[in-house]
Formats: sequence, C-alpha cells, structure tokens
Amino acid sequence: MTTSTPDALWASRSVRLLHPAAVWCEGVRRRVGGERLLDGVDLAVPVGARLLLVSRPEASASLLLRILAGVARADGGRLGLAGLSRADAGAAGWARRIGYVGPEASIHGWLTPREALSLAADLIELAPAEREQLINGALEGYDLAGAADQPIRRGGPSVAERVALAAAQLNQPEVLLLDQPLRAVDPLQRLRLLLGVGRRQTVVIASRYPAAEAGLVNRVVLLRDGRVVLNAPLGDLERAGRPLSMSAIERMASTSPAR
Amino acid sequence: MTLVNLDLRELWMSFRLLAIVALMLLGGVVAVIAPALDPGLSPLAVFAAALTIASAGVAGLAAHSVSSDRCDGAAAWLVVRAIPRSSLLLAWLSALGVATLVGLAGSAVVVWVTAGAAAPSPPAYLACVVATAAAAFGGVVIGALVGVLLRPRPAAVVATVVTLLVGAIAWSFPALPLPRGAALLAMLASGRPISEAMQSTGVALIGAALLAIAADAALHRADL
Repeated sequence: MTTSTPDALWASRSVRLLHPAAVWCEGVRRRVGGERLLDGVDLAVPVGARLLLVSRPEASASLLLRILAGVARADGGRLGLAGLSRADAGAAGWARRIGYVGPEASIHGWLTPREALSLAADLIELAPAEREQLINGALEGYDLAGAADQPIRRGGPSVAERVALAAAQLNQPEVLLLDQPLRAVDPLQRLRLLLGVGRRQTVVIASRYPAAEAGLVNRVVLLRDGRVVLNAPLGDLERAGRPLSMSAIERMASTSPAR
Repeated sequence: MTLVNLDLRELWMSFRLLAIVALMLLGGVVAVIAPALDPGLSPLAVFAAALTIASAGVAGLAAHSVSSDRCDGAAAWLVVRAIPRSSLLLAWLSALGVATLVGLAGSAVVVWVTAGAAAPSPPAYLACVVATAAAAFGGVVIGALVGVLLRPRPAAVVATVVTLLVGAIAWSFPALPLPRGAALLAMLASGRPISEAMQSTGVALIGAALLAIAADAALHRADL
C-alpha cells in the first residue's frame, strides 16, 4: 500500500508526544456574497486525529475544507497540510498527500467506477505493479464490484459517493478531508466504510449532522461566525454526558473556550 | 494526454463533439448548396459568412464545456489529484481545438472539391483556411475565458455573442487589427490574400494567447 508517511514516523514517540499538526491554518478569511463565512480561522489538527468540523452558518465548515483542498480560494491567511505549505503545491507535494471528497467534486457520470479509479491511479502515478491490485481491492472494499463496469450515473448518488471515497483513498493520503461524506449511502454501510478509513491518516469530516458521525471522530471543532469557538476532544463531550449533536456542541462551546 | 482524452470523451458523451464538427461542416455544406440555389452568390463569400457564424457557435459550446466542467465538480476532482489548473485549461483548449480543426478541415475540403474550375489557387486558399482556423481557435479561447467566469448557459450565450461581434467588426472594418479569419475567404479574388492571411493568423494567435493567459489567471482565482 502506498503511503507518503513512513511507518517508522507513525510509530515514533515524537508523534505521540509532540502531536505535530497534520493540518494547520492561521487567520484564514473568506467572504462569500457579502457574508464573512471565515473570519480569521486559526486551527491545528494533530497527526492521526479524526476531527469533526461543524459550523454556524453551516456553509463555513465546507468552505474551510474546500480551501484546505485547494478547490476554493481564501481571501487571506496561511495554511498547510501534511507538513507542506501552499507553495509546495504540485505533483509531488501538497495535492499528492491529501485526499478530498466533497459534494462539489465529482468525476463525469459516464465513467464506470473501474474507469474512474483507473483515472485516479493514472493521475497519482501509481506504480503499475500495485495499480490493478489497488483498483480491484477498492472495488471490493467499497462494494462496487457489481457495478464496476457500468456508468456511475446509472448507479445513482450512492455509487458516485463510494467511487469518490475509493478514488480518494487509493494512495492512502496522509490527510483525508471529507465534506458531508456518503450522505446517500445506507447508514450501516456508511459507518462500515468510514470506519475502514486508514488508521494512519488524519481525517477531517465536515458535517451538518454531527450525530451521524458518532463513532467516527475523536475531536470536535465548532466554527461560529467564521471563527473557531470550540476545539476539544470528543471525550469532553462524553464526560459531560452530552450526545454528539449540534446543540450539545454549541452548549459546550459556551462553557469551554477554544483551545 | 490523459486529460485531453478525458475532455474529448466528455465532448463525445455530451454530443458537443458532434455539434462542433457538424457546425463547421455545415459551413461547407451551406457554401455548396446556397450558390446552387442562387447563382449570384459566391461560394467563398457564403463559406466565409457561414464559418464566421459557426465559429461563434463553437465558442458558445467551448464556454459551455469549460463552465460545465467547473460547475459539475469534474475540475475540482482533478485539481485535488495534483493536476495544475493550467493543465485543465490547456487540455480543454486542445480538445476543443482538435474538434474545431477537424470540422473546419472537412468543410474546407468539401468547398475546394466542389468549387471545380472556380477554385482559388491552393496556397492562397490554404493560407485563408489557416487564418480562419486561427480565428476560430481565438473564438474557442474566448469561450474558455467566459466559461471560467460564468455558469454554463450564460457563458454559452455571452461567448457566442462576443465572438459573433468580434467577427462582424473584423469583417466590417478591415483596417482594424482584428483577426479577419473567414472574412478573408470572401476576398480571395482580390488583394494579397497570403500576406493578409498570415497577418490575420498572427493577430489571431497573439489574441488567443493573451486571452488564454487571462483565462488561466481567472481559473486560478476561481472556486471549483
């Protein structure tokens, strides 16, 4: 399996002790249609974290993910992923080491899942030796084998979402950004597929339905009016006896500041 | 090549490839049929007018293609896979350019073959067809630029109108430094067609390059 972070690094004590940031941003700002959706976001996501990103207004979290993925621009601020800054963008840098799955990023519906995965493999220049094995593994792992050779659009949004996740996971990028992932997929299948996301990855999930992400995340960040107002381990919420819901997260934000 | 193939397949699957080739071929067909119905019409003048209109249609289709790619998420899907935005634009221009050239070459051959004894000298005709191709490519780049900025339908309309306007102005005011493209075909019998065609080709390619740079800059600032 291809991974750009050596196993030795994941196993090192420094990762466990220092909690280096896999995703960081400082003062990220963006105004959309006169509304400031991001107003100086400062955020650091430790390596290996599984972060739930929620926001008021709801569009802020998705926008931040899109900016991190490089598909939307920021009006200002600095950001970095997987130890790289934006200046490293390129085939061997930034974009190779992140994966993004979002409602606005989808490949042509006339492609078959096998063709889409094959295209993704070509674009990230997977070695020929592992290419077919990874594609077949992804088709099996994401329950796409039965629909592998028919157009994605014929399978509907569920197939499209699974293909998008499978393609993003082909090279097991260090950072995986998931914007409202697998919304059209059966809840049990969704949980299984998202739990199957590699352990040695940093995952950020933007969601409008926090309860649906229970069991998938271990940290929660709330953006309100474009700023981080809560950044806490999920354990804090659980210790307070609160369920993973938007209202509980907002109540927690009112009692504990961002940290 | 992977991206150009992908874009050509997208053009094929969306029937835009057929539409582009058909539009350009239609110019040739009209140039053959119209003079047969009205002997007073010059085949080359009809061909020139039809190609000017066809090029505007192709610009609209180019705008729709680029804008759809951006709005449907296909461009974002590629960008998050380490594909530079400039490569996306280059691939689209290549795919659309190939389709336009194939159609134009077909119609130019049809008009040449059916012209018979009235056919102009081959070098002059070729030079004018090359100038027309350069001007049509300029229209494709206008379409790409508009497609980067607007949503598909408005982009298609704006690109068509703008390209038609540029063509009409170039046709009406020959002294202006605009790519005259197809208009030259109508004047093949007079003047110095080869030097004028080369000049027009140069102007069209320089204009296309400048517009492509603008489209690239716009694409780098655009949300995908």
